[in-house]
Amino acid sequence: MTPLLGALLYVVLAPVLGCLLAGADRIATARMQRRQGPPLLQPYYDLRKLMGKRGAEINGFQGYYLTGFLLFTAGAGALFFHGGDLLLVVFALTLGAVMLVMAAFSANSPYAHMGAHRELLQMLAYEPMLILTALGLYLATHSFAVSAIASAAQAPVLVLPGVFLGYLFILTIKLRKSPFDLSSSHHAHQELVRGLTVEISGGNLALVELAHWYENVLLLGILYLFLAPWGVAAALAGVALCYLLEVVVDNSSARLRWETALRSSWLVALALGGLNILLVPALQKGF
Amino acid sequence: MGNAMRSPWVLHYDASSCNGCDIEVLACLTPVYDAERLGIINTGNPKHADVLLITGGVNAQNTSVVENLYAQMLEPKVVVAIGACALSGGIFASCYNIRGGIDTVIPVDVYVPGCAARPQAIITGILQAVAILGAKAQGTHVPVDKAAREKVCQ
Amino acid sequence: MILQALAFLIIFPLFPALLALVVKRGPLLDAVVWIGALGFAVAALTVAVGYWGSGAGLVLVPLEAPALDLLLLGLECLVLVFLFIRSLSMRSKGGWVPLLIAAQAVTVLYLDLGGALPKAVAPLALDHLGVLLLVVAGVVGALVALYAISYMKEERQHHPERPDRRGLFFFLIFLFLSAMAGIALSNSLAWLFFFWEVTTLCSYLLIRTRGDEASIKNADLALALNVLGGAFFAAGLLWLALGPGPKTGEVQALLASGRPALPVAVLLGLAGLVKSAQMPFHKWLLGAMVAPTPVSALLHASTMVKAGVFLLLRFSPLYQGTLPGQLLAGVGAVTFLLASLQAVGESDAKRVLAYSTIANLGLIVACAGIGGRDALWAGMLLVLFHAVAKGLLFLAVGSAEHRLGSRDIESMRGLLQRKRTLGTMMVIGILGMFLAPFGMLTAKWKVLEAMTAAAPLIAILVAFGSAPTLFFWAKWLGALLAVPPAPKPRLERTPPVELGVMGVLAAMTVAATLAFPAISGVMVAPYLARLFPAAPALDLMPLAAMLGVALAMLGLPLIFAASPARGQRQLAYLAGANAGHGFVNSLHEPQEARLHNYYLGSVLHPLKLDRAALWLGAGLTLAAALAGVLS
Repeated sequence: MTPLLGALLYVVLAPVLGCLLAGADRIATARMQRRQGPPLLQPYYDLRKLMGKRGAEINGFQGYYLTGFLLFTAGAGALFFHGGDLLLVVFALTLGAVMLVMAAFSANSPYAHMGAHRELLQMLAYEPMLILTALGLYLATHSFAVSAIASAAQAPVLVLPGVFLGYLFILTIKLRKSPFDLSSSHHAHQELVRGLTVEISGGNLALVELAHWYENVLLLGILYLFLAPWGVAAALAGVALCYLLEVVVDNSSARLRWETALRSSWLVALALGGLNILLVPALQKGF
Repeated sequence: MGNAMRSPWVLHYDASSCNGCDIEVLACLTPVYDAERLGIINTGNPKHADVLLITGGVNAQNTSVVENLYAQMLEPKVVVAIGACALSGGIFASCYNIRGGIDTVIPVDVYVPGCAARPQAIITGILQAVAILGAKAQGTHVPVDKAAREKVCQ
Repeated sequence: MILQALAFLIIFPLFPALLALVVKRGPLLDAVVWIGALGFAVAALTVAVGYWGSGAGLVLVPLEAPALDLLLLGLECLVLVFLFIRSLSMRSKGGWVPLLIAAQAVTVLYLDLGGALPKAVAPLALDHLGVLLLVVAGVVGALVALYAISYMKEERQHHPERPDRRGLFFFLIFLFLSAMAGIALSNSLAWLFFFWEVTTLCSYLLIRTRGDEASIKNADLALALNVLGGAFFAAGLLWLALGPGPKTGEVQALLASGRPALPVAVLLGLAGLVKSAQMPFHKWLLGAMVAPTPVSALLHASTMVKAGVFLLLRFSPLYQGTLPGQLLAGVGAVTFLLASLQAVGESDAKRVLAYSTIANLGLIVACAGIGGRDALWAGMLLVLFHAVAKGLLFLAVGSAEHRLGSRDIESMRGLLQRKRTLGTMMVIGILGMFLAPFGMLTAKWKVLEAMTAAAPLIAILVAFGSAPTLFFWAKWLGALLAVPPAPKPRLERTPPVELGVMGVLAAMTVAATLAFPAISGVMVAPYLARLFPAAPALDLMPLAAMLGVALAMLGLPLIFAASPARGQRQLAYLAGANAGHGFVNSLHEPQEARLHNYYLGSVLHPLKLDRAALWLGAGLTLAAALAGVLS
């Protein structure tokens, strides 16, 4: 798989995968709540419906910011599947996320303003651990390049158990799942807890959904890196298991206050991520 | 089926309802009736919604609110009036503050009678509205002549 | 030839300085400042371009001039006496400041006249690091001086009751620029110390410009702490003269001595920490924000504080791989984290910028402390990018303050819509500070990559410090980008000179990002190749991806300008209770919806960051000092 092919496949297939993932997520959630749930392709129908809406926007700039959000999120993923520098991927993802927040800020409405702030709080919560994940993978495999990390001899998860768990912790935030769905909850859809997208509608909202699909595939790709040397089947199974775990956590927990979310994320990043990073050389000797 | 029909997102608003119909609307979203299998999501935001579920009658205070919410919804959109009060003011029709049913301020596409309306009736009503939504999306919708429509509750 | 050029750089600014004192005001003063600023900038750029083009490495400029040494000694004593007298009248600080100044004067006289410190054979030298500082001082300094012409005129209009001291102001600005050139070009430790103290003098007097209670108090604080820094410098020189280890008066010779020179390098590094407002010495920079904008932009963001990290970067090869070096890096990293967190809780734009400056300087200190090719690369580029972007931001805030009457970020909501050009300048400045693909982010990326293997604890601190910077910049940016529904009252036009200067800095921010590989190759790489001849070539391939991002970001607005507007504008969602541009509240009255940013007080206050900064900073600094002198 040449890097260019990887990037192209991602750009074309990630929306499909992301859509199916979102659909499977909703079905799994429904089954856990002992109900039938929507069809698997429901997110696709939602997207097409949004694209077909006609009407006004709150201002003329949202389209620009949200196109930027989609472009840079997909770009980050393309860079990742191209085998590029993992830390740059993280920063490109941040760039995209900032564009989404700017779209909400530009609306200048109370709920959007609060939603944007809550989204920034989530970013404040997960950013250290996300960077530490990249640093940890570097220490485990001696390279920041995704291509090198993916073809490492030893599974990084063996020397990075803390970083792995820490990444799973913030994955809950990035996937917008309870207990950290502070700014853009899947379940509740209004005012404070979905404030980020309150003023975004129609085609613009479709851009947000699409970008989230790209992002989810990228995030699961990073998870895959921890398990890659175990072979495609085992690694994919591991990723699927972790995603199922996220859905279970989502369905069984209540939303936290932002102070709690922030403190616990930083504590986890420090205790699990930071400590693990300092111990990596020792762990490597052990293996 | 058109895309709009497969993904009807709902905005639920209580105009002046006693909450009886609202509880039944909520029941539709619970596992027993599971409206999500039809792609229905309860958004709390008119900008995201296709279907406006309204309960309760229109009074002086909520006239502007109902108009505002309806205006903020993007095309194509449908309105489902749920319960006797939303149809005509119901048991409160002769009160000094009630102006009448929802159709006194915004065009209603589907009327779901009952006091309180049952979840099965509500879901049927939503599905009828979804069909109208599909027709609107394709531009084939023919509005019903108001005068010719039969009134269920007097 | 070289000697004349370097001497010109140091001496030339003194002419506009003295002329400004004489002319004092009016269009003649403006002309003096224009010619002085442009002359200095052109001279600095000419020397820089000539040096880069020549492909030369380190250029030592020998000079035998005992009369010059005596002159500088005499001037230094004058400066110290002046500061001594001023410090006697300090109301709040203890009596230790005059004592320290006296001690420094005695030390300097002993070292120079007593011959304990050998005279420098080549008092001036030129290399890439020095040229970098020179270019920053020259270009940004000149631009800020031009901006100040317009800004100080407006100050005069807004505050006619204050005495018009513009002649003194520009005298100090040009004196300062001369001193910065001296710092960049000095190879003699004695000369370096002299220019160092001159910058302390300029900073003290410039902070005092407005003459009110707050200015005087903060100028005293700045003086007190910078005198402490000077004392560290003097202590280093004393150790050099009296202690074991190499006996030389030259910076380059000190560097060449290797490990035995470490104690001196650490003591001088401590002076750098103070000058660059690292914790626990950071309070003076926060207090210095009472000064007029050009002072904040020039001294306390772009140039003077860079002198501190310049010294640390200079000695980085000595710090590399040593305990004192790692402790110094620890000071920088802790400063980066704590200052970034404190910036989150600030709503005064200048204080946010001050904390951000302290934090970024901390990052550069961390690079210098850990050392190595990659870290130095990042540190040097941070010097350049930070100076340009932060200078731009300070100037933009200054202009905004004059238009809005407030420098609170809350009052800047919707600024991009209200003042298109000024708003754009501020937006570019903020983007340049924290977002990919701009230079600061790229440098921070390299810092993380360089630190992870060499010093994982530092990397962890930087990772944690990175998150709050995102928060406060995005918060500010969001306020600027808000599109207010109701048209707000028109603001006065921004003076064209101010906009012009900001435009140049904004263009430099963008151009530097696009020309990143070229800048790295011309301005930084040759220096690193000389210091680290064995290191493999710098891998800049990932930057190609960044450039792609940059072009996409710039190209997007063009696509959007071309596409038609999508329809009429919607109202904000306010639960259906919209009324005009506000909403109907529960008492059925129309009410305006007012927005306010989050300052996370509930999370930050319990952390007692001020105290943590003092204790952690002091502890690490003390440890570094001990480790240095005991090594």
